[in-house]
Amino acid sequence: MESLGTHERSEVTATQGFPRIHRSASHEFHSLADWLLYTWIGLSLPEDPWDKLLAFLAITWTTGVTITNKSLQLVGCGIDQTIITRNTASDYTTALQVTLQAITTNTFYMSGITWKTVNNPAGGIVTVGTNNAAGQPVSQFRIHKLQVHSYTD
Amino acid sequence: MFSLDRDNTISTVNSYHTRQLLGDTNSVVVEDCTFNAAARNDGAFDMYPGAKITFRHNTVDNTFIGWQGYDSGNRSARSFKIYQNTFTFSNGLTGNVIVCRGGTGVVWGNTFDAGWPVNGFLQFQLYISDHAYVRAQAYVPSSLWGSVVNGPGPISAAGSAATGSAGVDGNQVGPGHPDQGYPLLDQPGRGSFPIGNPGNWPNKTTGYAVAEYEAGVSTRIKISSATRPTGADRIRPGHTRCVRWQCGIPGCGPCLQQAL
Repeated sequence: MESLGTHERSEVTATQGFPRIHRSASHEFHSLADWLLYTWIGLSLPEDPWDKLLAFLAITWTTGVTITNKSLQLVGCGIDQTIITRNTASDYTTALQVTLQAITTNTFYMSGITWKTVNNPAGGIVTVGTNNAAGQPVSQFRIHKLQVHSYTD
Repeated sequence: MFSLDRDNTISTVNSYHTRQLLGDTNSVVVEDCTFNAAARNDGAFDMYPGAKITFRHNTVDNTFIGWQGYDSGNRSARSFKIYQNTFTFSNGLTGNVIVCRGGTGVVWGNTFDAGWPVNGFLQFQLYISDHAYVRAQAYVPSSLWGSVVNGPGPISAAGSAATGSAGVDGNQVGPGHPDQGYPLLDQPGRGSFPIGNPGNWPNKTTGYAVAEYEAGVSTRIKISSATRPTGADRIRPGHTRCVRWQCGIPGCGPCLQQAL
């Protein structure tokens, strides 16, 4: 288990069907909508890393999600179980953009998700990178067991 | 479909002053994924100045992988490890499957099915080798990394063609020769070289773009004249096992075993 913020450490549990759930009064995700709400609001919060759950669901993102300088674990429930479809107004808008500092404590891990896109993925579906002038990256990006389609079914 | 990017114009060029350690984990690792494309140019991934990738154990259907060079940004992508992937094709695409436009790395153990395009499986592409292509403005990495110029920032020789005397290039081959300017800044096979100071080329400590395959149908590797290593520099130090190397250079036999 990755290290957690102090406020979360005693509240971690696991539930069948959900590979990684962090339950607390303030961090409980039953849907991607919850997760997105937390993400957007949480951009100004100090907790690091963030651990996220994507439950069994299919959802369409019409705007891009941007994560900056925050560790993130984005774990779905498996290919064709958690499905995120990109349907942005611009072909050049990525569904998810993660920009981290080039330090080992800033990490990104994503697994168990099927990505699809309605519009042309000219700018990519997912973009990752670093923003630190010290060079990139430093043992911090792992993208694992995904299925990515440049189309919808 | 995936993009490895930087957040502004100067930041990640500093990865050109990190050591060439292809065995470490300091790269974006993409593994055990499946990419299904509607069109060839969708690309499983692309990457930009300074980026590093490990792309392994993936299945890629109906598209290619490739990354940008100094001919399309202020520096090239930095390094790549492409191995044990499976490429399948059912849409009759044409073109190369792995397109390298800069940086240093290894490509080995990839499988291509019977629908594989006829053009080739790996291509080293260097637009500037035509001597007319004008490159983008190059940025010097930070002096923290030992750059000979106190970067980051553009240098005076930036934005030039490969004239054989441009300050960003090695210029071991002077004007008037087909390979003029060699080695060119960030050309495929070039690793951690301070801009404007190619003195450690071809020292070999920073590696070459090298390739190995096991299951391909074709034996061709395309390599531009300006990317060719010469003489004893064709063989990486410490490598002892020759593999099939079909770049078309007579006598060329780089070895990869130890690097893997």
